[in-house]
Amino acid sequence: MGKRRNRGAADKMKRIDAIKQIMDSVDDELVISSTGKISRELYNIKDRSANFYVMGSMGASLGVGIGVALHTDRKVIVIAGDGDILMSLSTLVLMNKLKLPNLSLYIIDNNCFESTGGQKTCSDAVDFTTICTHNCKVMKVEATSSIIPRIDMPHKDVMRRFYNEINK
Amino acid sequence: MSKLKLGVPCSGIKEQIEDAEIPCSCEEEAMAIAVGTWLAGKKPILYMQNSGLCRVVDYALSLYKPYEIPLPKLILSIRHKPYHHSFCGQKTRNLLNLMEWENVEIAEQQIK
Repeated sequence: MGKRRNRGAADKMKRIDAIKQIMDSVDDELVISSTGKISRELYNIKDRSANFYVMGSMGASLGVGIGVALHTDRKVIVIAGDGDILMSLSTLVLMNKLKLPNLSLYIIDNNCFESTGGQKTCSDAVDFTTICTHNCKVMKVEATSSIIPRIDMPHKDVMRRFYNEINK
Repeated sequence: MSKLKLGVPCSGIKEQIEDAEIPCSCEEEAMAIAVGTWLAGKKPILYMQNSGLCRVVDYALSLYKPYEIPLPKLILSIRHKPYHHSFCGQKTRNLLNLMEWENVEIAEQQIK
């Protein structure tokens, strides 16, 4: 039992490696990340003016991404947690309906609310890619209890920098 | 697309929202898309029934306020009838004040 569990965990990548993998292929794309450790990790891996960190407001990241993608020709990438997507699952349905060619979604799925203590989500009961078949990729990652520093940039600076990046 | 209307419909404002294009499933979704729209330099317009206003309090206070994003123009219906609307109907204007939401076009149902 223990061995099986260990093997299962070893099959999954770490969240930090998933985000690094996404960011390795990013050039001038606009990136919107969801609340919790995903935004913190992205900030520490590759902070840039084209990143918008949704700090708080769980469930908002994909909607923000849709709003941006509707009004720009630039590519938009949303990096969201399973808890974030589950909280506003209808937005995933809307993404599938709109099929915006410049919008991609990566769901970093650790099957838990990690930043509140690792409580389980029900992401193991759904295949997000059947809800949204358009530019949606799920990356299963292991749950950790890693400590990641909070984003020390004020919200309004994150906003202003991103706004200027799009509207320059 | 210069102005995007986003929200969840109400019969009390149906004439005002005939040109809405994005079918949102809940009011928070519209609030989030409106943030992205604003970040991209456009001015969104939101519409909803007052029952939906109760759902968006968190995004108003923890998404719009901290990032200093102005709350968009809101087309809002206030319903008082039938009975299940009466409690929310009484509280709606207080709720708008609480969120400091000023740019609101209200269509209010007669109480009697």
